[in-house]
Amino acid sequence: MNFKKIKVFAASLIMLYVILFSSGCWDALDLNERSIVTTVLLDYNEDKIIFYIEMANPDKATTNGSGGGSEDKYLVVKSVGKDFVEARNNANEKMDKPVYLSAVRSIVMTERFAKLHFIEYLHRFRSDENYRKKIDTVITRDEPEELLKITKEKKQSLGFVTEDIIETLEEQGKSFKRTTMRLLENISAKYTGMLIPCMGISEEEIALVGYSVVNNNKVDGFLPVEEIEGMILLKAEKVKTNYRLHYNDMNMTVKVTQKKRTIKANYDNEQISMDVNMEYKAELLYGDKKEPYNFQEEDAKALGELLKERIKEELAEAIGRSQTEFNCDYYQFDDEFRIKYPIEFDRMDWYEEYPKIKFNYNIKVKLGTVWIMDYSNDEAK
Amino acid sequence: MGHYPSSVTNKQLFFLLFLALTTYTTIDLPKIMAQSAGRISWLPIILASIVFAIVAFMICKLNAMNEGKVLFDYGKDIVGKYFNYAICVFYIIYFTIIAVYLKTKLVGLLSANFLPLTPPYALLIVGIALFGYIAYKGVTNVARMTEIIGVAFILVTTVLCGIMIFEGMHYNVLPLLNPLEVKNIVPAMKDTITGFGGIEILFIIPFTALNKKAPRQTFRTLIIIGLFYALIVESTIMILGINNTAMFNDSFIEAIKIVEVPIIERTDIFYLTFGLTSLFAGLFIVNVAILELACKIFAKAKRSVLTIIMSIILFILAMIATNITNIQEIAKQSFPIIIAIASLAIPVVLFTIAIIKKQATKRRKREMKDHEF
Amino acid sequence: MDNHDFEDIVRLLKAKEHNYNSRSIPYINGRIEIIYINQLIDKTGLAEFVVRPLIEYCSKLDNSINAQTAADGIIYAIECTIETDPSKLDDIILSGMVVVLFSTDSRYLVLNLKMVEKRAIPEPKLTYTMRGPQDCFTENLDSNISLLRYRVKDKNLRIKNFEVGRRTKTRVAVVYIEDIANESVVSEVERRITSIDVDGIGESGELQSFLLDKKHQILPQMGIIERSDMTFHTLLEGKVIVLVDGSGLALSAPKVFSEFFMTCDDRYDNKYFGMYGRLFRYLAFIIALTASSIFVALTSFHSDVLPAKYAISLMEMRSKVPFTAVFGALTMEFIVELLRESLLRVPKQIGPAIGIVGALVIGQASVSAGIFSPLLLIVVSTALLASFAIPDYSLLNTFRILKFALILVTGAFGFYGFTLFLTLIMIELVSMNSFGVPFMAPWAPFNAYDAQRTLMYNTTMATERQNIMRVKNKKRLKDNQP
Repeated sequence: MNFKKIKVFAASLIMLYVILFSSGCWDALDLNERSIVTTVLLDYNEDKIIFYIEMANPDKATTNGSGGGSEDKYLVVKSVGKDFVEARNNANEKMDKPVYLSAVRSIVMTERFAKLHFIEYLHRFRSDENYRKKIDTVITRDEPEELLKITKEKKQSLGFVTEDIIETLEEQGKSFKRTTMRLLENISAKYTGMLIPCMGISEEEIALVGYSVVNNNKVDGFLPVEEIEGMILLKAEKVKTNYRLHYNDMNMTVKVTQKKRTIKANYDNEQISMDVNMEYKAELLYGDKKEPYNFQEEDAKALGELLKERIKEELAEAIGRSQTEFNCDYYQFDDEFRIKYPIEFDRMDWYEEYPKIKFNYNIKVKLGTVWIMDYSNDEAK
Repeated sequence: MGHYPSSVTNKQLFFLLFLALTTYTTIDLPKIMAQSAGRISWLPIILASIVFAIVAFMICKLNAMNEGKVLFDYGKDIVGKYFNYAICVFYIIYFTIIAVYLKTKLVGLLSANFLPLTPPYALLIVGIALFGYIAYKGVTNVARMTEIIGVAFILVTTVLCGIMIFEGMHYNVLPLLNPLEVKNIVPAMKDTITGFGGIEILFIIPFTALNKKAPRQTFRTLIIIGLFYALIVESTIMILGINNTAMFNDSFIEAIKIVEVPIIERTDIFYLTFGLTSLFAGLFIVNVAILELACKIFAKAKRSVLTIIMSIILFILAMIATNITNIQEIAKQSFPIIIAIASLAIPVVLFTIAIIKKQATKRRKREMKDHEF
Repeated sequence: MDNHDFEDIVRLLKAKEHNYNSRSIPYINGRIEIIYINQLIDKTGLAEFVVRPLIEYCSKLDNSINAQTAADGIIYAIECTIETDPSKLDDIILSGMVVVLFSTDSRYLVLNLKMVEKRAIPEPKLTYTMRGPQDCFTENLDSNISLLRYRVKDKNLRIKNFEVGRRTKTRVAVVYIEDIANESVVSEVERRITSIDVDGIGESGELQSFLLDKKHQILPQMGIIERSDMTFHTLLEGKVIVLVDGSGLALSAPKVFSEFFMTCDDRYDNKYFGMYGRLFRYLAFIIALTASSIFVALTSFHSDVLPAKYAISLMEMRSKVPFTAVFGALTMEFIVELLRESLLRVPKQIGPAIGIVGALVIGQASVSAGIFSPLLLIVVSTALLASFAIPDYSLLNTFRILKFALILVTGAFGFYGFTLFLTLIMIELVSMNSFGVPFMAPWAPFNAYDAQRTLMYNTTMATERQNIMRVKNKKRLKDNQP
């Protein structure tokens, strides 16, 4: 090949690339040319599927509110259809920009929607690569428009508020969260039983109001937030809770932190039993009497016993309720049994076996302080 | 100037092999193993790595016995001129099929995850031109590239897997040895063949005196690759769960998208850059294999001309392949067999014949010596 | 030479178009002609040490004179040689020598009384240092060699002189330490210099383009040295220095990629600070090259890797901006390059005004008008600042050009294009050699000792020279050093 031919070849290659690069950019779409969706709220009413799509408003007033902040920070688009495809098409017809789903913080389903379309929507969610699979899925028993009205007044995003509440409670050891990916894994497993956070309105604020029970891929029940103490002890990561105990004419508030939690499965003579082993560290906070109270060792032991019994009661109540009332292993004890006895687990029907499981509680509580509000004790720190 | 010899050092060999094997496997393997082996995936991977390590050892021994030569040069001493020629033509066709398949997978990955609207021809034009250019630079330069890319890729992926293990659920991977899944080990090993196919690139690398320890090093490399695969599969399952891993096409990428770390939050940007670079590495390694073999077979042709012809052929074939809808299925059926022949059967046969011939030559020399006395 | 030849030669030399100056001194049976160029010689020296003693000698009636007698006992010149070839006369006079011709002798004297206008030793402009010496090379080769000799008093220091350029006859000196430098590198440098056939070379940069492996090479393969202390470090590493008369920058070979990020402060300061500095410069380099492209990729293609709050914040910032991210990035980078170029060319008095124009008018006003987003401005400014952290500007110039190409490719194909282009840069870097040394050494091919030295250098730790240079004598420190 002589030099002239090389030059011609190189020149044509460069032309080709110039044309390619200048006419290309097929996927280039700036962020401000997209509708950034923060929440997807799903409802089912009058035989219709309703999408409420909450998006960030790019034309709103500045974040510090100067310049007349009457513009909403988030906009909501409502679309209706007889199925998902139709509802989505209806939503697309109303959007002036392509939808950007990677910023979605939460998927909120009304209970009536979840009862009918929970599994289908999760499968739809899995097939859509634009969603980030770490987002939360929650259920609500309130009307979606009520929820959106409250967030609109406070200039908040429902998705962000939901995510932040669940995260904050989780950090404080008062709740637990499961990502949508985890829910997907559960519904695909041999046995499905889980709890989904339920958000709602409590005194004009968005709050966690309880947990919805999903049994065998159906939304089947509800646990109000006032009745979930035992559940927190079993599911939350960094359990930290306060107990008010009555001892020797005094009401004391004790802070309890979970140090260890193990569940051991046993299978003997075709009888499944689970040993629930927990260790707690307790710390006296304050009492309702004027004088400070100095505990002796017997008092500390007695208070520890009281606490132990209280915790045991809560656990038994929580687990018992799942066995009798809901007939659903939403605490995922099936994982513990499956890991230890995979062959036996494969042979049995866990739906039938779970209500028959015997639970043994082995609770240890160590009271770290002997003076109320004792900051000098290193163990209590 | 020549005081640096044209060769591949043992370190470069490690990274060359690593990137050639892991190119697309890191993304594909979790799904394949979750479907075929379930939670016991790590075991067939390790077992397969031992098998391939032994074969890679054999290939390196063959190369070490013929310093400065590649298969095309020393093959005729082992199997005769015509069989040698046939083997080399087979390898050219084999590498071409692999190259086309990898390019199709790359286009599929890019279209599915990152650039859905960009037409495949545009992705292929820029990619193939670059890979052809890199292949033109030769084995030594490609090996140097892999030294840099390999370190970054291994570091980033290992750290990401570590974070995934830390954030994942141990329930998803336990029990590690489920008696019910033991029967899946051997069929699952068949599925790992695609992940270990690529050791035959050793046939195009001439060994020098620097590579005396290469056989042992290569054996260790394959074991490390096996462990690396096991790490990726297990960490993906820990994040996604066994069922999700079996469902998602690019499960490793999905798992990375879930992992979040403080400050930067999202970690998939690291995989976007380093993972893509490692994908490219696998592609240009295969390209250089095709080019080296083509240069041997068509010794009179200019390297630049062969590069251009190779790139054009690959582009055309890749364009055809992207339009075949069931290419995944075809690949799944046929690749284990083709790779088993290229990576296992041919090297074992060549090695065996070479050893037998060597022993026979030694015996003959001894007999001649005895006869003299 | 006989009288007739002498007269012809003198007549030719004195011809008007040459502009040579001359001085005649008669003696008993002949004449001395002193030919020189006024502007290139020390006139006082010529008068005191050549003309005066010759006149004094020749005024005595019975004294005959020839070249030998003049050299041995009359002329006071330190460099005085006797030549016979009349064809070399023009070259000798043009190089600044004084020629003394004798009508009764075919031999002539060549005297070195050169004195050209030159600057005093300046301070560094390109490679500033906090702690190191501040003396730099000048345009005068002899001054530069004197600086070198002052720093390296090794008997094995070799300085070989060459002449390059048919018309300019520029002096080029190749300097190395004989018992350290790799012979093949030295001979290759010398071979390339002697094979140059051009009419003139004015500066080391022009010479450098002749010494490259490939003519069409965008990446630098030789280092440039401004300060004299850097030369002795370079020589002690076994490298070759090339000095060009008329240029204040010396060239060094071989030079590898990692050396472009080293400064002398790394050696003079604490080794940890040095390591920190080098790592920081690597990071700065990556930022300078890729910041704008990453901005384009994240804004236009892969916004899903951004956390939600960042994405919303970025969207709000860009909501009023009419241009796409690619166009904005390219325009902003172009403006920055304009500023950079104008600051180099503009007279000192107007320099500060350019800074004000750049910062206030372009920066502030463009954001207020909604032409560019604040984030783009921050990204481009950060990339600009990062580029100033790279010590060797010759590498930086290359990547200033590549940066634009990277933005274009990223703008077309997102991170795929970004990664492809970086891969292309990488293959060019690894496949390049600098006088036989792989450009990306010690990283590819990897050498543990050299890599450790590249990251953390201290004279007490560097017991041996770098392996990549393949020098003759690797030992630096004696064995019993702490």
